[in-house]
Amino acid sequence: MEERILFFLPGQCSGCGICEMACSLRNFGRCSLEESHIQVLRHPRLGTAVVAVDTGCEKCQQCVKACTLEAIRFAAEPEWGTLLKEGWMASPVLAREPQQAETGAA
Amino acid sequence: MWYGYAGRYAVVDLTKGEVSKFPLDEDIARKFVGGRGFIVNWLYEWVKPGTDALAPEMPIVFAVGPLTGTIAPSSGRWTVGCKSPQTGIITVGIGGGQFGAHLKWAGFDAIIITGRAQQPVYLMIEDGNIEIVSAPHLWGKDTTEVEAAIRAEQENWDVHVATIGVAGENLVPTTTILADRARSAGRGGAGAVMGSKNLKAVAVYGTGSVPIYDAASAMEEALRMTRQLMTEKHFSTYLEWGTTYFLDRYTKAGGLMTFNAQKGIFPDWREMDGRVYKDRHWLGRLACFGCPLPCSSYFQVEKGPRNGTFGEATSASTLKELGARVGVKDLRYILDCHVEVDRLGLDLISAPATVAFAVEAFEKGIIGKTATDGLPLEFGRGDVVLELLRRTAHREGIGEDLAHGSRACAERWGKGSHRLRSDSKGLEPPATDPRAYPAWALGYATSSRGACHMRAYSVFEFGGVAEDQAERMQVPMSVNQRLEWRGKGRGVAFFEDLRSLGDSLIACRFVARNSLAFPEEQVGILNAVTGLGFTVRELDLVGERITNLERLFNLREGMGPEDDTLPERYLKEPLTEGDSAGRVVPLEPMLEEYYAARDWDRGTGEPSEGKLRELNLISHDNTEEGDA
Repeated sequence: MEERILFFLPGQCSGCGICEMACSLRNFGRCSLEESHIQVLRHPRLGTAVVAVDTGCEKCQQCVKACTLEAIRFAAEPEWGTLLKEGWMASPVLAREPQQAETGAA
Repeated sequence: MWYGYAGRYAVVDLTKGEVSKFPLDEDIARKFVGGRGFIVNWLYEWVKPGTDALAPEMPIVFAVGPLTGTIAPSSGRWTVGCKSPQTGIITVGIGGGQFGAHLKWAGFDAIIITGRAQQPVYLMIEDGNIEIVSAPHLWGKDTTEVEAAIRAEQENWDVHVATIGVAGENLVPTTTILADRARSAGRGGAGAVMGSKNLKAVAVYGTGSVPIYDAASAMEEALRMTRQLMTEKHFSTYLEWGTTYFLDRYTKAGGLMTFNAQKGIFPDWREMDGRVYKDRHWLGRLACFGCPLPCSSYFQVEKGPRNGTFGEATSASTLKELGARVGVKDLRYILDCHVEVDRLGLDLISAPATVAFAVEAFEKGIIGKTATDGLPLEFGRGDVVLELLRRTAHREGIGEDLAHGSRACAERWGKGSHRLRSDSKGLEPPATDPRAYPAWALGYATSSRGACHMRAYSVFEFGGVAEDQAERMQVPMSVNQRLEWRGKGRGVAFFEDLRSLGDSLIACRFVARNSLAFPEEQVGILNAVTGLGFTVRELDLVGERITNLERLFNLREGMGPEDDTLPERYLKEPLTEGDSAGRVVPLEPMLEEYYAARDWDRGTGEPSEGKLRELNLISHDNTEEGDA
């Protein structure tokens, strides 16, 4: 199977988190940071973001569709070199599974 | 089972140190939707008329809306409201950042806070729990330091903090509350109300989820709205410049309040425009949670008197209030003052507006060096502005007067200084001169919290209203013409109600600036998220209900129709330069049209009985008949 990995463009990603809402909604029917396969790691003050993804991601592309800044994309091997030269970074993969949120809505 | 909503709110009594949690009432959700609607509903119910805004029993309410913390575009916003110590009427502010989304994920739609703690405290809200935490060690810290301190002691770097600066601690009425360091809300002294309760901060951390009624439809609607937003004219400009590029337009119109509105064009505007900011100081883009149109940024001032100043959330107001209004052209000082305003917890509009008022009063000999402890006040001096802001926050010397805003200064100083005022109902407007913008002028005059440009945010005055929108608003297409006044009374009333609804969902003003402001565009996602089956007609009524209930609150506090006005400078002294030369505000005919559109009595200011009945507010009537 063709390997497609998630890339993000540092500086372009604003850290807004719409991708996380899209992922949790598509995959779990709820909106939650915890229940998202894509994880935006933000600096608490500067907001600078690193976009990571967990091992459960099925590459459904919902996060990509939700991003107005076109700061994330999935790419197959032939594109990797070009993207890296253009400043894109491959998203780190987190060994985590989304936890069902116990709290929140009453 | 609630969808969209957390389905729960809390009441915190700081005097007793008690926290109580209550299920949300579906009737309140249907009538007021959330956010600003919830706040006015509870304030009307909880506030005993005539009570001092800083009395312990006065409530201050934080609330989010059904769309907060969801896929909806711009779902990070939060609201806070109370009776204002600056104006004596209601104030509800809408802020950004990440704070709002976390409050929802922590499991609350609203927090009502009353009482006064014996010693400084903060609230730690985390996944259904609320703890009142002792905080004498945070008293005296600025807003950025407070956030860092709470994150460190909670050992959690994802805690989001809404806090006051030293100005709020000192009960300065021209204060706001700052979330995520720089996301301000609550003009008119919400910061002082927190200070009066010995409440330094509200910290939130939520790991919960928001259940969505119809996930597929919510996704579809969110993406549709986002695509629509991306076709609008302001999308690319906001993305590129935030709101800082607008000085061209104000300058052309001659409507940029300069030297305390003595002029409408700032001669040096090109030296401190958005382009200069972008070129010399801009470092990167910042977004509020869930925002498809990030307009915020961070910056550093690398040279000059305060080398190394780091800041964020620059906006058009930064340049207007701390630049043109006080005559400062050195962007380094402007940005320095911007950082200081946020760290001290001052209002970015009222505090500098009062400084500008004082400088003109000094130049006209109304106050002298005795009043300023020897400090010479003159326009264009960034160091003087910085010093006066500092004195305001600490209530030192002349700062004791400035702290209360320009109307209070005029009352204290006399000697005709009231002619230099810019406020309506005691709250200063932004430095957009109302003489150049009739709908904005009317919005300043009728706003439920005093001169706020965001109550109506009448963007139709900048053009671009389509025929179907004009038909929906029941206004002539001439509302697109800036200096025309006809139709703007009705247009402002309509837009005030749109904004009241938007502040309840909550939708950001800039995302829902144009087409997305209309309930027709919002009802789809609201129903997909909540499953409550709202109709467009219901949402129209929600917006109108909120505006009317704020009106009833203010009438009950003694405000009258004579307060829907502007200072005489704007009604009698024409602008002298630019495309608006010769203009004053044609207020009276617009007010006539506005009152007719609202079905409010021009003599008493009260909504008609028929209007109250239509809005299901008859039990809220202030008159004896209503009580019967």
